[in-house]
Amino acid sequence: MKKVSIKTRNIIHRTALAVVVVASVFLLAVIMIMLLQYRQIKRTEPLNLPALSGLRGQYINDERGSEQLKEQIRQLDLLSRRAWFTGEDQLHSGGFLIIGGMIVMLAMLQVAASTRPYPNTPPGGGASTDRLAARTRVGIAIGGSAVLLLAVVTVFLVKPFALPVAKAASVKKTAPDAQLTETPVATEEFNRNWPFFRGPYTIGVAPDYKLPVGWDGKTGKGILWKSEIPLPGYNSPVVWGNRIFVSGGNKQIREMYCFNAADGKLLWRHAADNIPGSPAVPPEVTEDTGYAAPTMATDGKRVFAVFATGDLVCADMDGKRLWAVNLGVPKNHYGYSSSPVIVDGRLIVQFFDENRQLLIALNTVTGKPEWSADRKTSISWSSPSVINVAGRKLIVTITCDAVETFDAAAGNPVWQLNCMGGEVGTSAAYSEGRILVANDNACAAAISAAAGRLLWKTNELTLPDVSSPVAFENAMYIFSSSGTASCVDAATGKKLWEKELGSGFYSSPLLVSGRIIVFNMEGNAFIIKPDREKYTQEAVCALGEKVVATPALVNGKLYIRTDKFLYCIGDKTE
Amino acid sequence: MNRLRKLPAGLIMFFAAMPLLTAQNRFPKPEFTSGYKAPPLSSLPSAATQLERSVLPVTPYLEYAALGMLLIFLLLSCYFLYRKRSRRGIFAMVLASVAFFGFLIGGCICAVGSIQNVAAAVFNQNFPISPVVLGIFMLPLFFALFAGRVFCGSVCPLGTIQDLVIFYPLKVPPLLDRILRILPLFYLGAGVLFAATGISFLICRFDPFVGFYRMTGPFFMLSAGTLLLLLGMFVARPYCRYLCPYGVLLSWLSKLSSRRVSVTPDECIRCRLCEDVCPVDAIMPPSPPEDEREPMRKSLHRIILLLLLLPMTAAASGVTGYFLGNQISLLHPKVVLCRQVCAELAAGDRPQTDESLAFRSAGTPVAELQREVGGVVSNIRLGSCILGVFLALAIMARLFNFSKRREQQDYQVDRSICVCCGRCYSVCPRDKRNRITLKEGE
Repeated sequence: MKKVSIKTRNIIHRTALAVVVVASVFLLAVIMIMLLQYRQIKRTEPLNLPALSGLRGQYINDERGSEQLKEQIRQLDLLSRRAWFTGEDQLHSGGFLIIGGMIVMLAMLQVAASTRPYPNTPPGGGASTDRLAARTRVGIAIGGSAVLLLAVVTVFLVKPFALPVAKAASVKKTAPDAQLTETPVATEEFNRNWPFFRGPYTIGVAPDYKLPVGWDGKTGKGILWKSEIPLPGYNSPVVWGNRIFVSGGNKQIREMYCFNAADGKLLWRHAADNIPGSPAVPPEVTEDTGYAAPTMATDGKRVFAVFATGDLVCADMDGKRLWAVNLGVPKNHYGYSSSPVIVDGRLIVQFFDENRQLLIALNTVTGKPEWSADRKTSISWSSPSVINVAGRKLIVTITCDAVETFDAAAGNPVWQLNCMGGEVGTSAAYSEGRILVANDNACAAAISAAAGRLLWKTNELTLPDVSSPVAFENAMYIFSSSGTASCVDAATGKKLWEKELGSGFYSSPLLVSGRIIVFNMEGNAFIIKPDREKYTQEAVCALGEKVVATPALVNGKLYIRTDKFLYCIGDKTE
Repeated sequence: MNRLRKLPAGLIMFFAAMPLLTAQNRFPKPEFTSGYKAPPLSSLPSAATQLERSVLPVTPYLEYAALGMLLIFLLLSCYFLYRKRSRRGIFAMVLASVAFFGFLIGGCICAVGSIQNVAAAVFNQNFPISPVVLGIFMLPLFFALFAGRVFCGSVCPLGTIQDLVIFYPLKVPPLLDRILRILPLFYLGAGVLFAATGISFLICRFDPFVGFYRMTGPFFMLSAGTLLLLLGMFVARPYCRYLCPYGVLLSWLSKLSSRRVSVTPDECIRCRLCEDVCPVDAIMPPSPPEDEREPMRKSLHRIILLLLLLPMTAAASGVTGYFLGNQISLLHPKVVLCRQVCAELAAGDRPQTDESLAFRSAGTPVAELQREVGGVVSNIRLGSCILGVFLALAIMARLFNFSKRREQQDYQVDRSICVCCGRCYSVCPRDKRNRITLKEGE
């Protein structure tokens, strides 16, 4: 290769440096523009422009759905997207400009570097390597010690993550006795009957039956029969076929009763006695809870009752005992009140007292526990509900701290959301993927059933402490112990209306054929049209007796329990 | 003798690679019934998801091509470095590397990042690693064992982009230079710990130059890359010298290499021009005369003292590392998720993150997550303890290195530092190609 002279070499060197400077200025300018563009793109949300959102709001409020407005939204949306993507394209083009500029700059840098004046012998020379090594040793030792010190300081200053242990549910599983299990009763069978507290869906929604109206307890109009229940209890009736089951009890004896749905005749009664572990002296309970507050449960083959003593009895449909266990004597300052439900052949019992907070699944055939979840929370009087989320059955429980869900099959806790407080006696409602809860001294809240995410929470309502809410068409209806009926938007938590109805409500409302029926404590049944706009009362029927239980509705007949009697209300002609 | 010295290292590399080579995915691909066809699996995961239009789509074919090209580049670099002694040839390789390993395949997967794949595969049996990634990791190390850091000089896309911007390399004060050269040890340790325990691929996450090759990337990454390149104009190859974790492995193995860059093809005249031109300060001067050196006994005493300090230092560092593991575990995604979920449970109205929402939607019990987190924290503590011991040993080894007496006659390159760029060839006056003719008056 031809050698260049030093003079030529210097000229090339200076020219290359000048090009480097120009390229650098160019690059800086492009980078600055790109940074501004990048900032602009990052800040812009093309689909949420204020103007676009405003137009969308206008369109939603415009009931006629103006075509012109729609077209305007489309145009603005297109413009916004186009602007955003143009910005993206400009950024990409800027990238190529930078690459080009850098190639030029790098090439010229190489030229400049290779045409630098010839190297000279560096100054100094022959530096004492021993002295340098000594200084290096000191430097490395100091540096290493500094890093070690920094690590020690970090250990003491940065708080590590401590796993919370108190709230975690531990699930104990017991292998079911395969010999004694059977195919669970079909869901359709449950839905044709009234097997649990608040109906087959456990959320206060009745299958689409005719709701009897126009009856009067005082005159006997519409009362098909009325039968005395031997022992008191605040539980609600459950119905399977032509049999109605309730329980009753006092300090001396606790019993299950079976009535004939056709004429109200007591078919059989079964005493919950001779149960191993049952306390000789029953626990103290308050008068308004009693010894038989939990509603019974049935799967059409067996019937189950649990009492304030912790006794759980299973009998067949003819009153013959199949098995009985004592779950432990509940230490409960009001009395045990949670009602069991049946899911896929398992009896689910929310057994909460001051010492234990267990959700237990018992094999309905054997009575043996299949799993139990130890919640480590606080006492609650609520009953579990069962919902179906994406094909999976979840048990919803409300503790005094939280709303929780459990996998119905395995008992594993799915999620837990701490949003409750006070003493919780109400159970959950469910509608359109939302679990809705309301309890006095806590809140009303909606929670995403799939994710356990709090959707809203409000205290600006008169809330119930016994009566559970019911949901219908994006609204939650609640009836408080002070006699206030309220309607809340299930999507936002906004109070839609509130109405004073006199006497308070302990009985939970039922949604039947697009109507809500709820008994107040005076025994007046309010039949209300669910209406988001205003309180719309269609009828009030008086039973003439105090009612705290929740009615059951099967085949157009309403079964309601009072302190002493079981009523059947319906059309005599049917 | 040299061959015998390399034998243990070669055997270690071979046996370390065996389980990885025979490893297979434990689970087959899912069979879709909807007609959806799963895209081919790639061992270049981040590239597959992030490559922009300017980068070739990564296919298994391209992966093997990249591995083949790596081998060819390494062979050519050795040829230009040792046979031709050509700085121009090496510079051509630099350009080719930037074009192929940089812009064409997007700077990924590179040998530097492959450390993490290997670490993750070694410590986690469920982590798949392809032979290509393993090859990309092993090949440069294998070459370093015989020919020094040829990979750094003209093949590594991270090194070559820095090589291109070297304009006026200043001499970093020797003391500062030697202390800063400890940093890559920490980066290597942290990178391996993070990959092995599943925290993240730290080295890839903070790869400063991949953004240039893909013409996109986070602002931080591009800014860091720009700053390093600007710095690199005056402090040559700052990433290679003071950060690169793979350089640590290469420098260890290159110390065993039989071949080294020989500045002069002839007898050294001690002009020190090579010392002036070397961008990474790899030229070591000859040892001073015996009467100017410290006595052998003093050196020996110091080494004995260091040997006595070694167990204590390692123990202190290991214990500190163990406890520091608690803090390091805060960075693990599972711990982050668990903290978030637990905080949400404690305060019902706390805003959810996408991760916690996804976790809750999956229906996994929180207790299971907490159990997993317990295991994760234990693993990180153990790993962090090992890292502490490793760092203590590595730093003590440096101190040993600077404590022993060095015997050297001429200006020679330090094999562990030299990045084989060939610049010293171009200035050595004993090389006939560098002789210039001066015109009258110049």
